[in-house]
Amino acid sequence: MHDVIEPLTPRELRKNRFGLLLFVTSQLVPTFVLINVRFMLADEYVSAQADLLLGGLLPALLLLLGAIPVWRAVRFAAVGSTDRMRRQLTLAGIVGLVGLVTQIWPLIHHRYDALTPFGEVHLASVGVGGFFTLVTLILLYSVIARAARGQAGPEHYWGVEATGFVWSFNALSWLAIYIVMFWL
Amino acid sequence: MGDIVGFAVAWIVTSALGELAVSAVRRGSIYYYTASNQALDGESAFGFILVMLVPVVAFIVVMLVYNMIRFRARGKEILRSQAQFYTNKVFVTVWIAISVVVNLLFYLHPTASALEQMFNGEEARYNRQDLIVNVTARQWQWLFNYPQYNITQAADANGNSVMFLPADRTIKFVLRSYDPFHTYDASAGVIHGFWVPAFGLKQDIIPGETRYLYIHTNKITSYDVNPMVRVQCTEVCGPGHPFMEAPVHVVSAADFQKWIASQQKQQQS
Amino acid sequence: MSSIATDLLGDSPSQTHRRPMLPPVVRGLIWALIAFLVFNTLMSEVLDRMPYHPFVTRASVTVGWVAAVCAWLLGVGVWEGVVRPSFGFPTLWETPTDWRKYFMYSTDHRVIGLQYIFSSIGGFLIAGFAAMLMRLELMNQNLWVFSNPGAYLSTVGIHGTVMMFSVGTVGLVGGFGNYLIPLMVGSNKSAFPRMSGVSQWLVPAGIATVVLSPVLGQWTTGWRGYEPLASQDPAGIVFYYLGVFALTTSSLMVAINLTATILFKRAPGLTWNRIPMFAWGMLTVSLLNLIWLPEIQMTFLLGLLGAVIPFPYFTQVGSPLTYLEVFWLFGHPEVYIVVVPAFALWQEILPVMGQKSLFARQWGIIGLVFVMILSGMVWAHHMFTNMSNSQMLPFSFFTEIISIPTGFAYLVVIGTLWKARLRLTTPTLLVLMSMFNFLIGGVTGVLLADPVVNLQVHDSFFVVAHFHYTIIGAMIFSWFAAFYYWLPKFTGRMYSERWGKVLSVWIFIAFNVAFLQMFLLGLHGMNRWVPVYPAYLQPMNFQVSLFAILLGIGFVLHFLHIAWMWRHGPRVEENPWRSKTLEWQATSPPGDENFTTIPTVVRGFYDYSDDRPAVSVDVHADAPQGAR
Ligand code: HEM
Ligand SMILES: [Cu+2]
Ligand SMILES: [Cu+2]
Repeated sequence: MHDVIEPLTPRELRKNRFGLLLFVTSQLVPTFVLINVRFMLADEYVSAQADLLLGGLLPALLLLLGAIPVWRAVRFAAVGSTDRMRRQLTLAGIVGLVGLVTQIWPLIHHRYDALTPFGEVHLASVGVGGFFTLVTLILLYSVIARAARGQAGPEHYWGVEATGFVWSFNALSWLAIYIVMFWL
Repeated sequence: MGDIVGFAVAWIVTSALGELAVSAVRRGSIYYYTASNQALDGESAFGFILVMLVPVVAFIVVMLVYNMIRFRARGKEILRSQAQFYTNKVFVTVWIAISVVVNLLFYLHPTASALEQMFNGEEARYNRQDLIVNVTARQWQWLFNYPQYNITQAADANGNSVMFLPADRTIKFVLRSYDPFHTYDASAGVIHGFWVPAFGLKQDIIPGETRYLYIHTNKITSYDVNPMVRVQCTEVCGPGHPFMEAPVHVVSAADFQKWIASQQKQQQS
Repeated sequence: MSSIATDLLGDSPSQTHRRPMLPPVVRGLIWALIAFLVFNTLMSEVLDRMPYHPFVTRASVTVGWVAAVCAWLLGVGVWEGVVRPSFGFPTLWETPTDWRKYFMYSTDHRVIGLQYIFSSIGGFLIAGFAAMLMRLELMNQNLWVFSNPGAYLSTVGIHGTVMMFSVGTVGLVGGFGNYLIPLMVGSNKSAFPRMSGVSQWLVPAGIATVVLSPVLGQWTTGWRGYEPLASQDPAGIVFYYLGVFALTTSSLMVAINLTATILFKRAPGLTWNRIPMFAWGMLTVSLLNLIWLPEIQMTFLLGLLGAVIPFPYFTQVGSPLTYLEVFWLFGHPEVYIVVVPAFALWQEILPVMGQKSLFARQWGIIGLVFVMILSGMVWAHHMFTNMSNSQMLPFSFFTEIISIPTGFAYLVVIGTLWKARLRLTTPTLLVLMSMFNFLIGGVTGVLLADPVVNLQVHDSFFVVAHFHYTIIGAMIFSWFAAFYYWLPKFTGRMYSERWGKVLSVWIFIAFNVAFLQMFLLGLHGMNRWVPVYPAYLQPMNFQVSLFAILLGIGFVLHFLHIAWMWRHGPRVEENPWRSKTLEWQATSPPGDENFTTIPTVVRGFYDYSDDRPAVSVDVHADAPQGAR
């Protein structure tokens, strides 16, 4: 056990980025599966029940929007302005929470009907997207909590950067799902 | 040099013995019992691959055994091997060349050639005289239907499904999976597998699809002669899967007509 | 995920006061139980009340299970080790140094490796017991061990699932990989120790889930969980999906950790040209895992939704074959995930045992890499019986072609053994047996790749024999070779050569007699997934069962022998095999740190043409001797 948290060496930073990249890449695979299964099962059909706005466009916009404060926070973390970093992170947290709600809403308000499964691919997509958003938010919150305890700053830069990557991954993969599911 | 000669002799002897064994097996029957041309084709493909593989397998097995015995360390002491080399261009090149050639060979024959034969056999122009048997798989029972003779469900005296086929005829099996007795959802079905071991082929039956399997029977036989002459489900389809079998009888054309007549009578009553 | 991100924060300031605490495993169990009850009740009684409100519904059990697994992980130490520090709280956690450290969350790659190994052995014994029950049933053509076919089929499913996902995929990778890879690349740590610590505890959870599935109801689909049959099955299939989910998640984390360790934790001088063969094996397997495990997870998630909500994806909509297609897309790479580590092991152990330089090393590596690449292109050969004719030729082609890179492993070994001074130790013997067995598996694979032959033997016991040859024959035999080879590393003690050899010959004979006859059974018309079969097959089945049971006993005796020698074996020198690889340059067993000074690698590990070591410093000159 050591009291001082040492800053990462460049090699360790590269290692962490690489590990995260691996994780993110491997998590792209389910998206591909989802999209493929969609074409195999439902072809071009878009369910009348699928909510274009709530389960689709709104989260996409909100998540993309949220990427801005997250990456600004990363920049602030790099130069050590902790306060501004925290403000940006909190902002992103709020945007993300709203996004999460918009993704979960259609799940709750869906009429589950075993006999007409058309459109369920959309619902599953929303669920998967919601799950990833939830994970992203937990990660974000953990960084905020650490920052609140003074464990933030240039030497903790990686945690913030990781949040940035994960956020962007989540936003982009949702965008991809959204476009494929609703527009193609 | 001595080692190479020693190994080569062992390899050649083993390969020769192996070939003898394989040809003995081929003279018997690899598939135990066959009752269709397709099974004979499959069997000869099987045998051909075995013949070609014997020297390959012998090479590796003899190598492993020869190395193990000839180059074992004697004594307790751990000593570095005297011979040290990192590669051998000739050996590596020959190895790769042979493995590529053997693979291409297998691909051309029997894979592609035998498949072509099979596909050709399925071409309609060869099959105008086919006997059509509609095979329906339900959970868990085989139903056989002979549309050319208006037999909706072939059954023996006890009401169990039974299949009769004429010998030396091409049979076109039309395979479907659904449940005609299901009260509200006949399409709620699962995948089954249609296999008559003595015919040497099988085909999965997919709900919602119609698939075909062609067989040319080549001898008079039946389930009572050899239990491999039976229909057996080969894709797990629920707890009843093991019980999805039905006896097959391959009979002469005259006997087949007699059976048809009796089935038609049975149906009317 | 958060564990990756926060990994390198290290431990937060330690606090001196400590509350008394239950043993972590016990605490984990209790927390899991509580979490299950709370969330199950919440679902079934409040949120999602069903007609006649049963206490356990499919939805409630799923939610309860997720909560229970999280609680289990937290309880074994993730709470103190990962969650609190991630949120900036101080850690109240002290790691014991005695045996207790194996029964809690740990960040030490050697502890984790052994935990994985124990979990795998547990899975092997449980699933092996299931196999014994199945073989016992098959001694007779009627139902006699099981009262109904569904019970038998559930057992087949449990056997296959636990074997594949907790032994095949895990034994050599999560177990030996976690223990050895940091040692082999000259590092004191793995890349992401916290993530690794979490992932191990998913394995017992996953095994328990699959094994408990009959509590919810029978499932008859076998390890493929195939739709549309699965959607008809009673609720047991839910625990199949969930258990596999836990197990695959664990392997996925291992893959990320090992890849990053090999790429970023290498000691100075350990260039790409010098990466050990076992590490190459782990690298290729990890890449396969990274691609294919998420694929199957998504598929199973859709299956699970189908069983729970229900979302009947694979039944009324589209083609019932969709599921099988996406399953085998994963399924075939999976079998290479199982066997590639074995290839790597052969090339790792034999140069040492022969004290001879590795032959044609680059071809060995090319072989591993190309097997990895091709394995994604052959999947449909599992579906010759239900694909269209035009698809048969290409898949047949790739399937046959994959034997070329596979053959390179043999090329390397044969060249290495030629004119070696081969010590016929137990690991040597097991590796050679493993190569023989895989040869049989491979030859029958060539037969299976031929569509005309395949249409006869597919879904029969011929296939069962074939894949057991590749899995037991190659992977399990190599697994035992690894146990014997690295036992002195784990414990500083040696096994008994006599017993090791006798037992190895035992399992070799029992295995071959049992499984060779299965080929014949298949040709003779014995189909798969049947507890009841025509009487003419009974005599041969009886013999198969007899030798299968002998095989099972042989495996157990091996474990007993290893366990006994673990504690009581004679002490040996640090490097009893005179290996040049790095793991043997540390003490046996390694001290608190693998290497007190990180070694510098100056030449390759597989050159036995002289006595010069591959590292430039005496790496453990001042390490505490015999630290446990
Ligand atoms: C003691 C040794 C073993 C025996 C006697 C044994 C026996 C069997 C039997 C009788 C079956 C049922 C075949 C069928 O009817 O379809 C089976 C299936 C299977 N076994 Fe084993 N097995 C053993 C070890 C292993 C090991 C070590 C693995 C993998 C690591 C394994 C993986 C499988 C798989 C994947 C299946 C297919 C299950 C399914 O159809 O869903 N087995 N085994
Ligand atoms: Cu069936
Ligand atoms: Cu069946």
